[in-house]
Amino acid sequence: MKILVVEDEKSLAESIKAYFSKEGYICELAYNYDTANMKIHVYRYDCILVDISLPDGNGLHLINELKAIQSQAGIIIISARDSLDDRIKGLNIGSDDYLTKPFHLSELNARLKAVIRRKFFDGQKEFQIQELKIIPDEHLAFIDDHQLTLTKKEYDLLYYFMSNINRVITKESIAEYLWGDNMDMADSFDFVYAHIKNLRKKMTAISGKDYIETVYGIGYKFRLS
Amino acid sequence: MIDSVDEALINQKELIVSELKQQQTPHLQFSNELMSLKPVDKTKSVATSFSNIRMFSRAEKEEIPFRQYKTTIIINHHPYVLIIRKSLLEHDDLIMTILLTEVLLILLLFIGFYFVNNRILYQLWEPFYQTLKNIKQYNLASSGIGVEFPETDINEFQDLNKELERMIKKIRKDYINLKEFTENASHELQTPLSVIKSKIELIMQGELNKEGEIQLISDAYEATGKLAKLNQALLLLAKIENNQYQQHQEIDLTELLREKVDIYREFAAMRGLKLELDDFASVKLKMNNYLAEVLLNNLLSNSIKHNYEDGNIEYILTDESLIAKNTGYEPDIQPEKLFNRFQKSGNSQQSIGLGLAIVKAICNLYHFEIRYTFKNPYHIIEIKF
Repeated sequence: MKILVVEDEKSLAESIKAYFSKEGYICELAYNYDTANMKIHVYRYDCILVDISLPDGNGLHLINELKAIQSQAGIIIISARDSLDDRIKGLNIGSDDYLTKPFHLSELNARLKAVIRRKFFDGQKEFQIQELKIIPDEHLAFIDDHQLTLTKKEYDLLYYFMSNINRVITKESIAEYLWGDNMDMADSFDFVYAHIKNLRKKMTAISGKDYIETVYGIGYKFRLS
Repeated sequence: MIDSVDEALINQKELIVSELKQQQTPHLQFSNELMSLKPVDKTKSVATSFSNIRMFSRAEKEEIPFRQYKTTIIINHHPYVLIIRKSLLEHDDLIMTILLTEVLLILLLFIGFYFVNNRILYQLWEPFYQTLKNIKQYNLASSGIGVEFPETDINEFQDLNKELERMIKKIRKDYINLKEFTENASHELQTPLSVIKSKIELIMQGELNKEGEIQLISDAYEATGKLAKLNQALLLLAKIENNQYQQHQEIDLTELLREKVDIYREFAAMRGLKLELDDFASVKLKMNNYLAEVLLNNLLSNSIKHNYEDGNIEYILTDESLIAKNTGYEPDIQPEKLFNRFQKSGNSQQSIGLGLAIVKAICNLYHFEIRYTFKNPYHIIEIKF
């Protein structure tokens, strides 16, 4: 999987690269519009992460450019602008997702995987990792073909975990993933904890294994051998 | 008026006295309506006096006012009391006539003044009212570069228009600068925050062995998250106050509130809170969709945050108002300060203290009236549309 990160803040781009490299993706960086424009015309990417405000151009033009050359790449906008207008504009001209800075790398990872799945595994409706299987369109989850009966939030949680296998996931990023940025609840972590407890119980009941490891003080890690 | 009557009476007396003195055998005792003369003892002389009396007049056939002059005169070494009276009736009539004419004249003058004044003032102030109208119609956020003012020959108004034009241009420029600053601040601050956040996340992926290390990293991460939220909230507040949310559409507040209540019911339930909603079929408001969501989010999370275990939350939505009621401990800050920025009551260390300030800013934007009261054990926030 080949990904282009167009982001003028070098150290943020490096962070994204470091995170995705561990996922086994090939990650290239472009720090400005011109480099990015050159790269998309020369190479083929599976997904492109674009910052809107670039020193020498507008990320939105880059998306127009991609559409003009009929690129099949998935596009995710990463921007500090969080106004609804920008979001709608971005999605209208053909980006697949929009993420507001500052974001969690684990969330970016989950969104990226969702975009790639939608774009490139169209025929394949399932998302399977070892004994775990999810059918996103129908919100169903299985362990070794035993169906898990999950609530909406538990399903979302499992999806998030399966997008970030063997990664430390902070409770903040889980809360934001489940309830969105508008969630301003002081004790939302208690709610995260409650959902995790239930998901863990349901999964253990079927497989006898505990997939969710608590990382003390930080969050959780979803373990698959 | 009375003075002139008195003078006439004194003159008449002089006349009578000299008349009587000239006569050989004066008729020294008589009395009628206007005059009376009678002898008195030397010892009982009468003091000279003027007085107003009313008595029956044969001529007028009714009781009318008289001015009476009473004095003692000496004729042939004998004192006599002389009383002379003069009717005041003709004076009253005169006064009335003069008064009437004058009032009529003044009235006519006033009416004339009024019309002439109105006409002149209207013509004179017309450019001023036009200027005023243009200013009223001007909207900093939506109108263009400046305001068109009418041409006028009056120097003062020309000056006024020129100054206003200059001022509006300047304000508009500052406004645009501020807007740009808000946008830029947003970008500039969010990016380094993203960097910090992502770096900490990467550190977390590595092997953290010492428990102290984990605590340090997790504290730093939490603080970064809080900083990001704070920055977002401040920017939102600035944007609302700068009137940057221009797209208003008709929204169904009832539907939105039901949606939000469903989401927050989960949080409420986890704290053992009962969340009740009492709403009318459909309350429609012209608002920005995003701001309406923020408003409800902030109110609801506030109701849950500042509550106690097994408490109550009640939302009542009608055509006129939204009432948010929730149980809670008595606030330790004054009610009027509740909507200020960074006002927190002691029991909630976690909140950033901007939630209600944002609610207030949104209410101000739409001219909603917002009021907070505490009726033990209920915190009540009422928003009148």
